[in-house]
Amino acid sequence: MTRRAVYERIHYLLQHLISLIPTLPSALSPLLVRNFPHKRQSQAAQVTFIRNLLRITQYCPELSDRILATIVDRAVQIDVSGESSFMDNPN
Amino acid sequence: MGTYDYALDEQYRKDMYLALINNALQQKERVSTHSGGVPFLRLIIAWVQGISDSFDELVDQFSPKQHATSPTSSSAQLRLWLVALSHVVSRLERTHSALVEAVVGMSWTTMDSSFVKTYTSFVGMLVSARPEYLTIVLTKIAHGLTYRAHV
Repeated sequence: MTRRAVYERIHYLLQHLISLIPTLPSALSPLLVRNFPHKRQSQAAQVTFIRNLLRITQYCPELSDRILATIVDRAVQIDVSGESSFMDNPN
Repeated sequence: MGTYDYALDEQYRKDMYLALINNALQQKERVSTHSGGVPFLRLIIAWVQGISDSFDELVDQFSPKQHATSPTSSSAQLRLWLVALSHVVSRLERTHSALVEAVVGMSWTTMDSSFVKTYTSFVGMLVSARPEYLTIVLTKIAHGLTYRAHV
């Protein structure tokens, strides 16, 4: 079982829950921020979480603005702190 | 002698699981004494004997140590447990939180696809009927989207 398959199952569950509970996105939002990897975590950790956040915006456009703001905010924090690996190697 | 009726067998088993769960929930609502994890057969015997700690045995069905002993048989059994639990979600209150937490906390993402479907459906029914469990479900989801959750 690949990571991608595992994450897709989680997205499938989340989409299902959103379809049942319209107010769910606002409850989810702070939890996503809380689980954003610390800037000292690996590039794989950063990229994985960001990919998953962007995947959420595909089925929950309501959260797009907040998610994109969070991603940019975190990326700037990493950039400003002088940690080189993430922003220099966005892939 | 006819052919084996799998559909009927599954229906009987679902009914039995449902009866076991109803019994376990009722027992829990009265009194709670703890016992360790037990295999499925002993759970049936416990039901027949009316032992009051059947609720904790049900919780243990979803605990990691249960998977370690018999991973392949667990999936089909667990799926039927979830189907049965789906019928009683509206009765899952604070006293049953250990059971809900065990189900929410289990490693469901690596199970077979029919289990995943049942699980997804169950969680949907859970949060719809008992919104107080929404936070614990979303916390698990948010954590599951990280890299470290799956090393």
